[in-house]
This record gives sequence, structure tokens and C-alpha cells, in this order.
Amino acid sequence: MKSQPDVTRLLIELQGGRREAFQSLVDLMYDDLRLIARRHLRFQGNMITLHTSGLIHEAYLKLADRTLLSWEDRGHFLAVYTKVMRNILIDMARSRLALKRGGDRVKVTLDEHHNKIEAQADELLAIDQALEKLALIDERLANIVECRFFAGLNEVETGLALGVSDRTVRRDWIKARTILHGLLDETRVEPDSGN
Amino acid sequence: MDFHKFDTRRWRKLDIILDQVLELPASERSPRIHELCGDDTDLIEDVIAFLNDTARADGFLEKPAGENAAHLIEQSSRNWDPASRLGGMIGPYRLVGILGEGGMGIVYVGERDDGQYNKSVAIKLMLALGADSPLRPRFLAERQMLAKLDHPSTARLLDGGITDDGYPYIVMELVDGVSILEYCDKRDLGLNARLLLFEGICAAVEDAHRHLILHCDLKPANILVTPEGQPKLLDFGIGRWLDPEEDGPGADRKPSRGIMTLAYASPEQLRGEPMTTASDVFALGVVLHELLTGTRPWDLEDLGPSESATKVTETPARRPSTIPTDPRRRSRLKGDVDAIILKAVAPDPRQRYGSAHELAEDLRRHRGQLPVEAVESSPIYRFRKLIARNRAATLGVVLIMMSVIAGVAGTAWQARVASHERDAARLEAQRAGAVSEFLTDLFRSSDPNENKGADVTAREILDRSLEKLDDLDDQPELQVALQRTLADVYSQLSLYNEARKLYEDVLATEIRLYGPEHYLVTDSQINLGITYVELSRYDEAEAILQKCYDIRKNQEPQNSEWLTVPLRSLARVADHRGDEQRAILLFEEAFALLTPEARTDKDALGRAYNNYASALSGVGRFAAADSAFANAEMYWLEALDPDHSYFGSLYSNWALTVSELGDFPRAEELHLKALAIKRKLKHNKIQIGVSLINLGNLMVVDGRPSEGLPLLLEAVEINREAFGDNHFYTAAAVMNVGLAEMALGNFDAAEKNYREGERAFREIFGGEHAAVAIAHTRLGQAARQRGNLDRAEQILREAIAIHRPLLPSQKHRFAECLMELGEVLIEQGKPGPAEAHLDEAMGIFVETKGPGSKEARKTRDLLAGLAP
Repeated sequence: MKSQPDVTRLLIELQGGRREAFQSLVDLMYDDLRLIARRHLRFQGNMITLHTSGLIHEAYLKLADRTLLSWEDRGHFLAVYTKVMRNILIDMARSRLALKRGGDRVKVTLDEHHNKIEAQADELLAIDQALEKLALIDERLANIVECRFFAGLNEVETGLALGVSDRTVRRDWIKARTILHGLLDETRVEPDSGN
Repeated sequence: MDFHKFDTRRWRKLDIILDQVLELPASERSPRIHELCGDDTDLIEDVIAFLNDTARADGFLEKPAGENAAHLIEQSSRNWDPASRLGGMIGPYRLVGILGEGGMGIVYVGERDDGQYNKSVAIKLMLALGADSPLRPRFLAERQMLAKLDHPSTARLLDGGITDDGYPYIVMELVDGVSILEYCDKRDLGLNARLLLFEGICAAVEDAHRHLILHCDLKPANILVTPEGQPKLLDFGIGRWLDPEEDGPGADRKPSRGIMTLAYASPEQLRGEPMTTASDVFALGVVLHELLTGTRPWDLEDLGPSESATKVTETPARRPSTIPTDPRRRSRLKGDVDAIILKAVAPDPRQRYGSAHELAEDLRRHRGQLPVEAVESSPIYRFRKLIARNRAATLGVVLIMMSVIAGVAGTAWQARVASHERDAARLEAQRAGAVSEFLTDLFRSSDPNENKGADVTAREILDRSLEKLDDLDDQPELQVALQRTLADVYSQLSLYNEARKLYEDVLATEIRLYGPEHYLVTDSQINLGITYVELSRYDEAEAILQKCYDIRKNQEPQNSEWLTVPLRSLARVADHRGDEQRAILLFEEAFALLTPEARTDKDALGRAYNNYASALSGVGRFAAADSAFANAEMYWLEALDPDHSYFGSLYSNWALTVSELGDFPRAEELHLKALAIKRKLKHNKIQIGVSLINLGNLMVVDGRPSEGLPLLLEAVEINREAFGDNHFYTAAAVMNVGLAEMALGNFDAAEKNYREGERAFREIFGGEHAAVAIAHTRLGQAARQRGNLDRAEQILREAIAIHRPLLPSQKHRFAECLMELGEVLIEQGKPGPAEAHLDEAMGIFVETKGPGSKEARKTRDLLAGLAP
């Protein structure tokens, strides 16, 4: 667990305009968020879902109430949160696929459950890469995708995180999705349906 | 279009145009594009191509990554090798094979090494539930409950423990069988044979429900039939702890099973809301549909959980009778079977059968050509039947009406606080007095003693009240207050249509009397809105609640408490519509209403969360309520003294929510906290009593009667002081004490309490009431337990004599008494009379609990033991 004074100091620095504080915050929040994310998984039968809004909420309260973060600083928090969530998800996808390439140590037949997870990992990485390309075209659109898709923020929260209006978020989200969809359409290799 | 070739400059030009046209309706786009782009044809082409692509990307990335990749998140923190344990031991079992691997662990085939038990078993090793897993205590608690399941149609839990390296495991009977679908199809079984098998499954599910265990993952692959024709349910309660891909042998392993399992999940389960027994009923309904028609009620192929939930909620289920091509088969399903299945798979849990037993009963009635419940399901119809069957219910109605009268005064008080209208409050209080008087009068006229024994139903009381209201035409204010009260009563009785009509009248009258913005008018708008919600008339609900909110907002824009109620009701509408996002937004709006000072006011934030949590709990979303309570606690801990009275009610309500989640240890902890605070404050003894009873009963149920007993004793003292000896609350608390003493083997004390309970019940209800008979039965049980068989026989015969004329009230309790007497007679060596009583008990158990119920089986065993 990271010491809270560090987080508080970094937040104050971030509010004061020191941009390096942002990345330090991302690093500091990484482990906490990973733990919180696991806590917000919901198991129902075979289904596992992530309770996204609960996760954001807990992450926010964890910061807000032990530091000087006020309600108005929610935007800063959401921006940091978004970066961390993208990092976490991509790291998970990478290590999952690394495991697959790790050879035949695991003897059991990989069943549908495993295939499903691998497909999820593949898809996340593909989107992540396409997002890099989108950032080259328009960084703001890439930020929108990070907020809406990787962090699961709603329109209002996305607006807060990026400092734009809900309306802009709505329009930009359509644009971003369209470009990303186009980028993926041309690069994606469809999995073999018979396998 | 090819975005790979896009550079920033080309995009900038396109982006500017898009901002101008994206929000335009399609018909207005083209002229605007030409106007904006002039003769830059490349740009025009880009814009049009882009707009076309927009439609193609519709729905893309709709779900956040975390939701899609939840399996990945879950998996990423564990890593195990199933093969490494093969050949090793878990407890006394050697692991000889792998049945499968799932999200939470591995399922092995095990054999006993010491030759004591040579059958193979299935061992489920929960590798995801190591010592640091937050889910582990809950799993262990559930495992303990599972051990209580003992039903011929349920795969038995044989053993369980913790491995040397710290993971919990359970050992299950390994069932040799095929899925119920395969079994029936291979043998080409007819409709009645299929229904009989299915009723056996219902009995197993019902048995588990009576032990407070939900299955949560009912599907054909979990319902096997052995070669002898015995149905067997697998994975009770642990269904959700395991991935469905891995069941016992014989589970069909079609490639599409991962998708298929969603097909049996109820909408509430798909939405991630807490499940109830009605969720299992839904799954049973889908299985039955498939068993009889070969298809399921909805085609959910390729849909995710939330899409499936939407489809199930918004599109009608396929009627079973429309599916077969053979007209004879169609007509066999038409009518009853259609109605039964559609009732079982109703999207709203409240519209389904109340239990698996009721579902089986209706099927049995159908097989016996009796009218089925499913065909007529209006609440009024059901209510009338209830009253007709059970006169005790009339008493319940009276109690509800009493509480509503008390509520009239309460509303007046709140209204005064809310709007600072002191004079209005005084008037209101006078009116409340008049209302009580009026209703008391009505009760007197329907009291059996004054009414010469005629059986007055609750409905008649209400209808008579309505007639009497007409006499008050010259006192419109009193008249409307009474109408409002009656509307509340109808609403409490779930007679929403009647309540709606009255509320509509009340609202119109109040607007005429007090003007359109009076606080009584906005109150009535809220009541009417909530009633519309109950009638699923969401558009009307939303319109009226919005109106109420607008009026109040206009009056006091900063008064968040004043505005929270309409906002919360609007959130409830959104919630019922399945629009969770909007529900949350509305709630956040309530937050946003907090003034700048209030936002730093942790006390106000805590209150807002506490209200939110209660609302969530009220709509059955216990997990969400749980975290909202946690937030309320956090804020209050910062703002308030830790002994503040708020914490008493917070912890109390939180504990009940946590109990609903099945987490007894935590519920207990919270009850204890609530109790500690209430005790320190001492200002409301009755509140302490409530906490004591909740906590005491929790402990008795949890197998710790010695810990529960002192709490229950204290509750009795408190209730006695508050209500006197002859009050239902006191007597009920006394009976609870008796049960705890019985569980401890203190027969003297148990008997003393049962006797006191019986005396009080007689005083309250007169001699002729089922509560008296039940208390008397308990006395008989106590006598038998201490070995005094002659006395037990005499008491139980008396209990039967008290209860018999009251039938069918509390019929199954009556049968329990008959069975108890049968057992006493057997122990006395009088098999003849025993048989007569057991026969009668058997008939009632089969009727009320089903032929496969635990009670029916026990009675059957006793009867079998009598055979020469």
C-alpha cells in the first residue's frame, strides 16, 4: 500500500500544474486500483462482470477522503483513474498472452473458458494498438476512448475528466468509434470459425 | 474509408465539418455539407464516407473494457496447474482424474485410498479461494449450509475441508446419469412422464430453498437422470462458485454451452442483481419449456448478459403451444401448460410462482385436471382467495390499517418539518385524529363480536369505508384525508389499481382545495407516481413525478431533502425500466443539489448515502446497498460522534441487508454494533428489542442457541415493559425464547415459555386461533423430548382438537402436529392409531409441500416402519 502523504502531495502538485505529477500518480495508484478492481468483480453462475461504477466510486472515495481532494477535483481524479485502468487492462492482457506462448507446461486441454479469456486479451491489445494510431490523428479522440472504453466512464464523467461538455463528448465518441472501427476492420485477423 | 492514410491535417478539416453536421437529422445534412465545403470535392467525399462509416460503428465498444474482460481480470491474478496434483491426496481421497477446470478452481475425480468407500467422488478444489480471498468466508458458510441438504434428488455433499496448502474443497457424490433432456428424448417419454420427472426436480429445489439455499445455476446439464430414472440435481448453491463448463460426467459437452447457460438465467441474475428463490423458479421454467418443446422461451444466441436481460424483459416469451408442428401436441400444451410456463418465466420476479413447490403443485393440478393457479393471476383474485382461505389474514389487514393510521400522524409531522407550516400542521393533526376515529368506528362495526359472527373480509371493510366516505360530502377536507388513508391501505395490500383510482381523485380534490403547489398535492403526486410504477405504467409515473419535482424545485431549489424524495422515486422508475445508468445519474443529481457548504458537510453526505442505501435495499439490490451503507458510515464517522443515534439505525438496516446477502458473520457484527449504540443511548427501548430479536434469532439459526438465548430473554423484558404481557410482539418473543431453550435441551424452561406464549395468544386472539394450537404443539414436543410420552400424547391431541376446526389455516403446522403424535404413538407401541394420524399428515404434506418434500418422506418412512 502506498503512503497517503505521497498521493496528497502529488495531487496538490498536479492541481498546481506540475504535469510530471500525473505519471507519478498513475504509478502510485496502480496497485491499489488492481486490488479494488478485483473486489468489484461480480460472480453469477458462469458469468463474471465488473461493476464499473462501483469501482470508480470506491477508487474515488479512497482518494477523496484520505487526501485533500475535493468534489471539484473529480476531473483530475478521473483522468488519472482512466490512465491507470488502461495500463492495468493492457498489462493483464499481455501477461495472459505471454502465458499462452509460454509453452505446454499446462497439460489440460484449453476449453472454451480459456479461449474466451484469450479472445478478450487479443481484442484488448488490438484496440490498444489501434488507439495509438488514433492518437496520432487526434489525441483528444483517443482520450475519449480511454475514458469511455478503458475506464468505463459515462458521458458526464468523461466530460469532467477531459474538461469538455457532455455534448462534445457525445459527438467525439461517435467520431472516435468510427475511426477506431475503421482502423481495426482493416487490421484485424478474424479468428477461424471452425477452430 | 481507410483511416490508416489519415493525417492530422486532413482530419482537422473533416472534423470541423463533422461538428456542424453530426447532430443534424439525416435529411438536413446534405445541403449543409455542400454549404460548408463549397467546391472542395475531396472534403465532401470524406464527410459522406465518414458519415456512412458512423452507422457501421454503431454499438461498437458499447460495453466498457472491464465488463468485457472481467474473466481476464479475474484470471490474471491466479495461475495454477491442474495436472500437478494428480495422483496426490486431498483428505482421504486420491486424485485419479480431472473432470474440468473452471474460473474458481479444478474439479477432480477422487477415490478413497483406505478402501472404506470404493465409489468415485467429484472433488471441487477452490483454488481461487485461498486464505486472502474476500469470498472465502462466504463460501465456507455456504458449504456448511449445503451439508444440511439431504434429498434423494440432490447430489449429496459428502465431505469438505481445507487442503494442507490452504484451499477449501468439497467432495460430492459422483452421479452416473445423463441430462434430463437427453434422458427424456432417448426414451421418447410422453408429456405426463416428463412432468412427473420435472416435479421431482422442483421438490429438490424446494427442499434446498427451505434450507435457505439457492441453486443459482439450474440448467439441463446440472439436472441428471440416473439409469434407474432417479433425477439428480448437481452443484446446489455452489453453481455460481464454479464455471459451468465443468460439471460431473454425463454433463453434455456441446461446444456452445458457454452461451447456452445464459439462457437459463433470470433477468435479475443477468443484470447482476441479488437472486431470490424466484430466480431459481425462472430457470426451472426455462428448463420445462425446453423439456416440453425442445426450444427455450427466448432466443438469446450470441447475446451478452445485459442484452439478454433486455430481450427477456422487453419481448414476450414464445408460447410453448405454438412450437410443435403436430396439432395434437399443440393442443396438449395450449391453455394450462402455456400459462404455467409463462408464469414461471415472467420477467418480473413478483409475477412468478412464489416457490418451486407452487410450480410443481400447479403442474400436479394440471395433470389431475384441476384448475391451475397460473390461469388467473390478478392480485385481487389472489387476495380474495387468501381472505377466503384464511381468516387470520383479515387480522393482518387490520394491523396494516392501524399502522397506516399511525402513519397519518407521522406524515403530518414530516410535512410540518419540510415546509415550516405550523398552522397547517395543527390542522393536519386534528384531521389525523378524525381519520383514526372514523376508521376505529369501522373496525367496531366489523368486529365479529358486534357483527354476530358474520365473516367480514378485509375487502368488505375497505369497500364499506368507501361508501361511508360519501356521507362526508359537506366536509371535503376530512373526506379527502380519509380517501388518502384508504388509498394508502389499498396500496399496502398491493391492490394498486384501486389505490391508483383513489389517489387520482385525491390529487384532483387537493388541487381544487389547496391549489396546485401545496405540499399535500406534491405528496399525493409522489404516492400516485409510485403506484403507477407498481402498475408498470412508467410513462405516467415519470410524468407525474417530474411534475412534482419541478414544483418543489421551483419552491425550494436548495432544499435537497425536500427534493430527494421525488428524485429517488424517479430513479426508481428508471430502475424498473432497467435504465440503471439514468437511475444513477438521477441519484447523482440529488448529490449535485447539495449546496457548496453541504458538499463539505459530511453529515449531509452520509445522510444522502444512507437514503440511497435504503432505497437500493428496498428494491432488492442488496450488494449495491451494502456499499452505499459503507459510504454513509464513512462520512458519518468523520462528521458525527461515533455514538450518534444515526449509527444505531444505520447498522441495524445494514445488518439486515448483509443478512440478505447471506453473510451471517458480518450481519452479526453489524447487529452488535447497532445494539451497542442503541444501548448507550437508551432513549428508545423498543429499538433495542428489535435488534436483540434479530440478532438472537440469527444466532439460533446459526446453531448457537446459547449465545442467542440471553438476547432473546432481554428482548422479552423490553417488549413486556413497552407493550405489556398480552401483546403479539411480547408473545412472539417469548416463543422465540422457548425455541432457543429447546435447542439447548432445557425442557423445563422451554415448556415454561411455550406455556406463557400460549396463554398470551389465548388472551390476544381468544382460544380459537392457529397461534394457540402451534404453541400447544410445541408443548407436546417438549413433553416428548423429555420422555413423558403419555403427557405428550394428551397435549398433542388437545392441539389437534384446537387446530382442526380452524383449518385450512396453517395447515402444514397441523400436519406437523399429527406427525408428532404419530411418532409418540409409535414410541408407545400403538401402531394402529399411529397409522391413522400419519396417513392424514401424509395427505397434507403431499398437498402442501409436495410428495418429495422432507416432511412427506419422513412420514412415508414412519409409515413404512409400521408395515408388519
